[in-house]
Amino acid sequence: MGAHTSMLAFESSLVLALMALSSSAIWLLLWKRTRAGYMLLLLAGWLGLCLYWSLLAISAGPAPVLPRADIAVAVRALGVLVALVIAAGKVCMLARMLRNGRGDST
Amino acid sequence: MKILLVAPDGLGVDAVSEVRRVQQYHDVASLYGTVTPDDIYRAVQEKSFDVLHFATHGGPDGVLLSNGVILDAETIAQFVRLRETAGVFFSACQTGRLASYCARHGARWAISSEVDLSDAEAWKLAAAFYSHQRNGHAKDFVGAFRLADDGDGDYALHVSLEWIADLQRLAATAATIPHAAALTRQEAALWAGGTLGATAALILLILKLAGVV
Repeated sequence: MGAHTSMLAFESSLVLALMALSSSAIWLLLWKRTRAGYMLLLLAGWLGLCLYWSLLAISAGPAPVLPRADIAVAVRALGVLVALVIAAGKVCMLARMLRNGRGDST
Repeated sequence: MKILLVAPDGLGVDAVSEVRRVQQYHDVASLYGTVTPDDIYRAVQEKSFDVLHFATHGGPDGVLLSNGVILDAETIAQFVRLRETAGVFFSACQTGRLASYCARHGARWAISSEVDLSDAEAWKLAAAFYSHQRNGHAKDFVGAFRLADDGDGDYALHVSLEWIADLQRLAATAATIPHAAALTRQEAALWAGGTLGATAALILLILKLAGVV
C-alpha cells in the first residue's frame, strides 16, 4: 500500500470533492440571483477544487483507473490554477465592495 | 415621536381638535397664542423634534403666523436643518410648494394639502397619520401616510430625493450580499434535489474510477 492509499486517503478526498461540488452549486444559485461576476470566478474555483479532490480520490482507490504517478503533475498544476482563480474571485469581490462604499453602484 | 405643533391663535383657524388628536398619540410641544418665527426658532434650538407640524393658514408663499407674519419655505427649511428634523406636516391650505421645498432642502419628508381645507376636515388626516405612526409605523412615514390618505389628491407626501437615492444605493449593495438572496421552499427543494443528484453521480463516478466498485 503506497502513501496515497493509506488510511482515509481515499475517503477524505471523496468528502472534500463532494463538499466542493455543493459549494459550487450554492455559488451558482447566488450568481443566478445577483449576477455578480465575481461569483462566477468563485464558482469556477470550487468546481476546480472538486475536480482536484476527485482526481486525488480516484488515484487513492484500491484499483485506480488513473494511477497517482501518471496524474501527479497535472493535479499539482490544477491546484495552482484553482488557487489563482479563487484569489481572483476574492479580489473582484473586494473591488465590488469598494465600489459599493463609494456609492457608484446604482 | 416628538412633535412641535405650531398653532397660532386669532387667525380664524380652529385647531383644537387637531391638537388634541395629535397629543393623544405622541410627545407634543405646542406653540399657542401669539407665535412668531423667533418662538419657533427657540423651540427648535432648545429641543430636537421629529416633526414640525403647522396647523394654520397657508399658501404657496408660506404659512401664516401671528400678526400677519408669513413664514416662508426657506425659513421653515432652516428650522428643519437646525436640528435635522425628519418631517414637516403642513395642515394648511395649498402648501404643496412649501412641502416640496422642504423635502429638497433638509427634510426627509413633508406632507402638504393640495386644496383648501376646512377646520372640520383638517384634523382627520393628521389624526390618522399620527395614529398609524404610533401603531406599528413609528419609522415608516410612507406606510403611515399610505394608510391614512385615501388617495383623492387632497394631500401629498413629498419625500427627499437624496433619501431615495440613499435607499437605492443601499438596495443595490444588499443585492450583492450573498445571504441577501431570497429563496422559496420550492426553489430550495429543487436546488437541494439537483445538488444531491450531482453528488450521487460524482460518488458513483469516483468509486468506479478508483476501483472501489
